Amino acid sequence: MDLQLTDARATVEERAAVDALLGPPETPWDGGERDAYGVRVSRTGREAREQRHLLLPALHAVQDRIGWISEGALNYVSIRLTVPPAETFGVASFYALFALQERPPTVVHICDDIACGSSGAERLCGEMERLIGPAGTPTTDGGTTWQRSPCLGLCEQAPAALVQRAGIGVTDRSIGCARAEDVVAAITSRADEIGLGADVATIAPQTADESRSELRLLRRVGVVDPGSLDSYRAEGGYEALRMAVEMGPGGVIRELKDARLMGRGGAAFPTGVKWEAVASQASRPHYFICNADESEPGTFKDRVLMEHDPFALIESLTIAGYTTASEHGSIYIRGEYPLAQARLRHAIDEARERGYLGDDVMGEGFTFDIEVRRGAGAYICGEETALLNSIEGKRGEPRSKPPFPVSRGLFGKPTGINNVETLVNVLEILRIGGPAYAQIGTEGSTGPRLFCLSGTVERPGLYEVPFGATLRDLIELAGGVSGGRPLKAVLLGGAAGAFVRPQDLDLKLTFEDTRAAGVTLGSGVVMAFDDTVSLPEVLLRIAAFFRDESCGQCVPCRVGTVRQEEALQRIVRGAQIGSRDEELALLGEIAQVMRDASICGLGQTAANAVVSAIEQLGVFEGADTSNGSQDRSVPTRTEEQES
Amino acid sequence: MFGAGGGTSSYEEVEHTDLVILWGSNARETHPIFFHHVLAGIHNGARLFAVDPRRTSSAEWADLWLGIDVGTDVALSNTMAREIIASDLHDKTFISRATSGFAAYEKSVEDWTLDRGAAVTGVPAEVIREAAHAYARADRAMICWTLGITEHHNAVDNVLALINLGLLTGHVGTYGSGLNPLRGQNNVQGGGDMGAIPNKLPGFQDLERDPAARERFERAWGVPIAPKYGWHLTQMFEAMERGELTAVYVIGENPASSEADMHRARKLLSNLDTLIVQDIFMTKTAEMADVVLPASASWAETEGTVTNSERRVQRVRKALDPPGNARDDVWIINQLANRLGLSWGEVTPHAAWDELRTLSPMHGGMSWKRLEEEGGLQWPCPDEEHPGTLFLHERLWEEDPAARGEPAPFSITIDSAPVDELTDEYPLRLTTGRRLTDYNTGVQTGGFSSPLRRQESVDISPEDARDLGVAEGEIVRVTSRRGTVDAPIRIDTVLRPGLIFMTFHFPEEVETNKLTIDATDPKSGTAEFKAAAVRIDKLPDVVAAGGGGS
Repeated sequence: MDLQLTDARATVEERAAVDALLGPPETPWDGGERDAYGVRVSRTGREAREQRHLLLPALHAVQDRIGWISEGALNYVSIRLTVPPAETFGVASFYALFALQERPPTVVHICDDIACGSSGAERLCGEMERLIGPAGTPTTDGGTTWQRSPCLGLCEQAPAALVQRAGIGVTDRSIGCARAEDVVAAITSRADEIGLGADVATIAPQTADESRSELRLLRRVGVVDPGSLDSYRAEGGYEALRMAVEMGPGGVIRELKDARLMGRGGAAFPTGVKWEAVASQASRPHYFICNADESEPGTFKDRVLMEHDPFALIESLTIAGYTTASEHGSIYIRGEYPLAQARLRHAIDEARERGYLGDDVMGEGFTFDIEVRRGAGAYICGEETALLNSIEGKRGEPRSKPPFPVSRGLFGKPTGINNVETLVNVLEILRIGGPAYAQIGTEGSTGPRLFCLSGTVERPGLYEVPFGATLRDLIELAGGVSGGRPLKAVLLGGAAGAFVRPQDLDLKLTFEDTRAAGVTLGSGVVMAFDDTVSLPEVLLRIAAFFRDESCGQCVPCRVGTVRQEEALQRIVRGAQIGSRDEELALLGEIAQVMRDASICGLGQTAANAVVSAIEQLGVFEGADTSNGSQDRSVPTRTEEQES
Repeated sequence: MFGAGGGTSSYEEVEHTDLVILWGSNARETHPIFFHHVLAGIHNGARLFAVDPRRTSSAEWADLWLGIDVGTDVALSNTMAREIIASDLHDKTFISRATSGFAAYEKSVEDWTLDRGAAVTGVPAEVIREAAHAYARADRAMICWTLGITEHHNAVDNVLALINLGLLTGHVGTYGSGLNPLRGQNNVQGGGDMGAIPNKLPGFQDLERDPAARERFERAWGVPIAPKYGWHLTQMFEAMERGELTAVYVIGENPASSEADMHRARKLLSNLDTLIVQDIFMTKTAEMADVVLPASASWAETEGTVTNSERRVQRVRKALDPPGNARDDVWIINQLANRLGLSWGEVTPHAAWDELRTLSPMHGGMSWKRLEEEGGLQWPCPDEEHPGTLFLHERLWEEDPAARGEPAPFSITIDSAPVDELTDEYPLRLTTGRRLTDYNTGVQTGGFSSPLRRQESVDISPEDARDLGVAEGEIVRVTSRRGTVDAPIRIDTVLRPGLIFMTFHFPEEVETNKLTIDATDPKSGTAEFKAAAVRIDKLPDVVAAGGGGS
């Protein structure tokens, strides 16, 4: 492997950060000092190259310790892992949470995405500017800076902030219902609590009311102590794993098929079929991965499960490992979820300590262990093949499919991948049996479903309903539109989803009904917008989001997301080229090309919201401003409307 | 080996083997195309070991690099063999069926304990053990070597020592296992195959020991052939020195630059009565010649065949007329013969090939048509029905002793230190080699530019540079018992203390071969380019020139 390094050297601290992860280097060829042995022997072959998957953890180690990743640190990581420095740079620069320019050790990310945008983000940004200066500029002491961020997955506690802190013994913190003074306090405080914000009753309101006994996926949320395995076991924990072992892998797959469980990550693939496909692969080893890279704007369901019932995920992933003959499990969790990461790591340690993970799980003679992999700020890594590449230490660029991960996934081996919510459903299926589970919901969509309510509703939060509930039911569960204002639109399925008109609220939220209506459930996002929200501004934010998050690998998406944003900008700013109809036609063509020709779901769905807003909501109907006059039909948000 | 002068394996097998040992070969730079096959093998799961005094760019890919002292290859091989036998990892069935001389060999390596091997080679004992066990335990394994093995005064013993390892473990004669010298040019193999070596007629038929073959050639050519080996290159120079050789016809060689102890070589060439050089370039040797015959390039301007390291004969085709008065080699030789009064008529490459097929049994089945249609054929290919041979010596695995044939002999190989001794006066070991961008004396590569090309430098370990007080780019004087050159310092961590490295790519600027020793292997005639003893002196009042290439 070619390692043509520049002269830049890592500092003692940067080396220490990497060595804390990888152990000290052994020879001059992997970053150590020259000695009599090292000038005679080197081992930089397969074993060294197989360390490549530690590239993201190593970059995280430097970023966490120093606050940015210098050229010297990149060189050191390259030589430690036998990765050409150009590739190390390519990977480091791919992920938004890695900084390759020197910056202050504390960086505050203020979410200005669509949910927070409709709930006070702009005002918070204004306050930040007043209190600590313009975005992107270090404070006078050089210790802090702040910047705007895409969705942080705290939509039920909008507006949200994430404080990224570098150093030893400090962690990142998320701040929900953020006020500027909270953020400033969090910057200076070294308190070790990771999350600041709402309590469970606010996050998942059903857990605090009389209907909680009907909850299935959320039944332990707010009841169980997320830090205690005993508490989890007291609530029925690990009974499902016991049952799985008793019925054997074939039995588990049969229950899943009887239950007709379909994936909750957005693609709705039958879970039993997927597990069976992995289990039947001759090639070894098998891997099982939990996709917890919940990055779809407006989505926070998996975060709530991981933060408040982490053992449930660990147990269900263990069942997946057992069923599919996988010995290695990974949870790929988005980098913006420090609290969920900490709780999962703790839970994994405790489970391992107590024999629920390791070489002989529960004394049943099978091996399974789980590692947590942190994302680093890349929406695309929620796409399963991009996620695989990310774990392998590469840029999170999706792969062409087929082959599908069940046959050639992580490191080219058979791999099962399921979303957090999907996995947690497995516990319920084993608890009540597949046929009973299939009785919940509708014929085509069985079981319970989590929905992330955000935007301008009275009680934003996570709600669980059986499939078949309508949009109206959900909005009513959330207390209706805030302040009783008129509803303007609902964004269903997140930024990659589509808008639904207020007159269509009786839409049943099932796979089959949404498909028939030309929309998608996606990751269960229900974002409501009242009449004070400027939909063109929302569209611009969505377009900016996709432009920013496109991985750039395939042309339709790389170019299309940029052109889409530009056309929208021109329309919204009244500077269109030609007539508005021509611009709208252009948007339609861009959408078509992205949908037809992009490699992965990101490009294929990047125009969904825009197209549906134009076609369903008629968002740009009205006076054509091709004469250059200001478009009065597009209101600009004011502080007054926001409060 | 065992009578046939070629690598035993095909490139395809490198991609499907389990272990490749590159021994004295920086294939990544000197055989870059072959190395692609190695990389494919690595990709498919093969391990790579590299035995080389320098941690070369090939060694960067290696699972294990053994940084031996220059010229201790026999010691390493004997130690590995002793360890394999002592650990009962040798292939006893193969040894008893298909080899001879094992008992004597076993005895000869008995003293080569790991500790002794470590003391002689400099490689830690447990690392030698690891390599020995890995090689012996591998299901498929091949050893590939180049000039790091052959450019020594005991070159033949070096090669035999590696063959011993193959026989000991049965890693020869099966798919994916083998013993492979890598050839330096597209047609080095073909040159040997066609008899351009002093002791063989085309098809590796022995000039002295195979009277039947000689008779066949005499009949075909209508002239008597002296049953007497010719001289190899080193012997030719000795003959020049004795005054026995006075006229030399050089085709496609540049001995005035490439010979060890260049001073002597040039002096002897300049004393010849007649020197004829046939080349596509005006080389240093050509400049000294009485007659220069400009030849066409052997690709693009020439019809014919070439044979690569996997014994594959391939057609080359003419696409361009050669420039100026340059002529095809076959045409030149043909004209020469005619004017010397021989009636060869008009010889075409096709006709020459068909004649060869009648005289060299291993080429018998390779019709011009088949070569074109089948994308080349690997010898031996005795008849038109024969598909060619993927790997050699499969016979050694035959159950039937008759089919198995002559057993392959073990050879007793004796460790022998480089001739040019290290002393207080000449304390540094200079080894020479090549880089990716350049080939040999630069005749073929000097004409194009490369962003990777560096000019000549004295590559030295950081420790030696510090001890000598020399800086990167500083011009220093390198002196051996034979000569002196000045070149800039380049500090390189792939070298250990005591070892320096130079190429011989830029003889116009730095005549590295003034330093090298012409101690040659008596059997192969190859000089010990790989091991000279030198010292480095700072030059007075020289300011560091800043940059190795300046």
